[in-house]
Amino acid sequence: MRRISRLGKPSGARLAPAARPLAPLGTPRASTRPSPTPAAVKINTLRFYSSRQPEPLPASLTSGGKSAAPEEIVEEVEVQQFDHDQSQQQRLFVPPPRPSVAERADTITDTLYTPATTAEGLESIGGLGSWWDDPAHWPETSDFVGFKPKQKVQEPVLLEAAVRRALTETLLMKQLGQEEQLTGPWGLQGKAQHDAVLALDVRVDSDGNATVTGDLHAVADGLVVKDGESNVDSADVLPSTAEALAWKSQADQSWKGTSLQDARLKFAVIKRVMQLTGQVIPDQKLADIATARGLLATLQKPPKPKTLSQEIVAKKQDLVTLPNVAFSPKRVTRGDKDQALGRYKLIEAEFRKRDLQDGPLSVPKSREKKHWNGEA
Amino acid sequence: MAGKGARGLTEALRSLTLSTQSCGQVSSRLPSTFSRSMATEATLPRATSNLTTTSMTTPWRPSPSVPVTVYDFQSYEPQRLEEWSSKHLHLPMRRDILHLAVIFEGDNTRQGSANSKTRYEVHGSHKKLYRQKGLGRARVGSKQSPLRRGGGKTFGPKPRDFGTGMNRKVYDLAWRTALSYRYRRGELVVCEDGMELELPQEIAAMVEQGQLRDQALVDGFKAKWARQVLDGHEWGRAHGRSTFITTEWRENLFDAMDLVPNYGMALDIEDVDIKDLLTTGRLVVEREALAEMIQRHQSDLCSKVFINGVRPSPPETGKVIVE
Repeated sequence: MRRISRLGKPSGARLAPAARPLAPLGTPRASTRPSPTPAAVKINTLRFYSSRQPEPLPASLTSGGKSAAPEEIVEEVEVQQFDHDQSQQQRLFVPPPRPSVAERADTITDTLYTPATTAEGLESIGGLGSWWDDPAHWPETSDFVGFKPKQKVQEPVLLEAAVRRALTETLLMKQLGQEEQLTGPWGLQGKAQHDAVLALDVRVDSDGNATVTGDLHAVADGLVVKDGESNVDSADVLPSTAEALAWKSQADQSWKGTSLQDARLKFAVIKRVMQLTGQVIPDQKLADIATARGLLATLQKPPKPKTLSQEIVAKKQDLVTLPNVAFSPKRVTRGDKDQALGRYKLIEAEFRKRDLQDGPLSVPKSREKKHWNGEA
Repeated sequence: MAGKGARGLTEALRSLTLSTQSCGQVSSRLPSTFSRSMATEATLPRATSNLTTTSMTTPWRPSPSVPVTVYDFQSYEPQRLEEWSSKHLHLPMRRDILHLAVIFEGDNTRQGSANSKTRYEVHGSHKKLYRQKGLGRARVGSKQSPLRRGGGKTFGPKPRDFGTGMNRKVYDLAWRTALSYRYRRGELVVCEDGMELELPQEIAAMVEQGQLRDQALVDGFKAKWARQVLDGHEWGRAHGRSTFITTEWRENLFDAMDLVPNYGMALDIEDVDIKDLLTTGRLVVEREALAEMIQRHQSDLCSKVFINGVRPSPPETGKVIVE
């Protein structure tokens, strides 16, 4: 199946070092990365490829439908139809058909034809502003997907599995001497690859240096995606929670002591974790991460609650469960009290009768005053 | 006697100075426990800490540099790791200086063109309206009198400059403090140079060939695409909007951000001021734009005075660590 890139320029292509000098403030680069080969460019756009067939054209565009139209117009419609059919196979987005112009009234030879004088009975179809909101014109498969997966992984056990996988993959690439590959994008292989990586043994010595043992080459081959190889949907990249829990109960935990002091190793691991889970580590936390355990703790720390009520529900259950305390996620207004008493419906009905208030009762006093005065 | 008193004062001051002694010495002079007069049940704070002796004796030195990840713009793929000076991106928070700077900018942005006419500028004759006496009416002068309808305004606004001053070095410090504040909160995203919203090839080709003739169609596409990109990176409306800063005007990015103001804004480097740096949920900055902003705002770091024939250089920044 042919794959079409959704982005103009893939990220890898824009990384060519010669074409992108650093800004003057920076010092010269410490090392230069080789410019990516055409194959590498393709690898870079992994998430920008669609693996599904684009949906067929909507019925309104495919049917000819204008049997009574004059011959010339029918011909024109057919030509347009042909254009659409031809390109339909490759289309990710369906643009509107070319506008067709009706024949002028004075050039029509049909004697029975009487030109309309009013627009009555004509259907109003509106402009093209909302054309792309129709899933037939912009199918879900054409949506933007970046380096991160669409869904962020937040379950601690899945994060642990992802960190272990990323760490093992990075270590083995380093062990095999593929230093250049460390910072490049890697392929997203499915669960089989995940299991194969986790099956490898990671031994950590007292200094935090880790060694991976097992069939390294087989796993490394899966990481470096060859040209034309298929891209697995990111939903299948990590195991299910139950599988991850089963893995965790049996796994040796010593791998968490692996040192991440090597900046290159740390960068590669964090980049891979981002690709697998969608978790971004902010820069100011990078310096504090010294081991795999530290990285895991940073990832597993739950996000700060956005509201006070969220925080209370999450952390202060003793307050919520107190018998003499009522907890409400929002401010309790007079409207809420009336609702609890069952009086709200009656008040609303009375208001409606008098044509006074249309909205909710819980409005600020200033606006309420307006309602009393009979204003809008 | 006086000399003894002065010596005693000096000694007392020296014992209070933290920089002249290690933390261990300080803690040894502090009382071991605090007494509390209130009858509370809370445990008393302990003066002895769990820190090891080595960490207590070695003074804390802040790191001279901080790591910065440079991302590819549209895909958000990390491309390399750099090291930037702490004096550029890791300054302590100074709310007072930021406040001064924002007020200073606001003052200097005021147009100050409000204008009203005094009695001498209002058009018309200055003749006395009617005679002083004999009519039984109040005495009047000209019809431009501020007391009369249509008359002049007594102390009305006149065009003026509301601008205030601020020391250049303080303003520059405020600028870097604002960037540091963003960095510390993880709200500074540095992207590769040439940041531009890239449309899918298919659509870009159509736009180039003029196949999408209706502007509403192009705008609709750009807006939806920008929303998807920003939502995908958690930069959008649900995550507090984003400010994009580039070195120059970029057509797709700036057009799209104008179309989706709920998702943020895009600014040329010339348009940015400190208030913009502090406004939205995060800054998405081109690397070159960040370097340029810092270079323009480090007057407090690099003196103009030559010392021994050499001008002090600004701190080294933007060094690539991992690529």
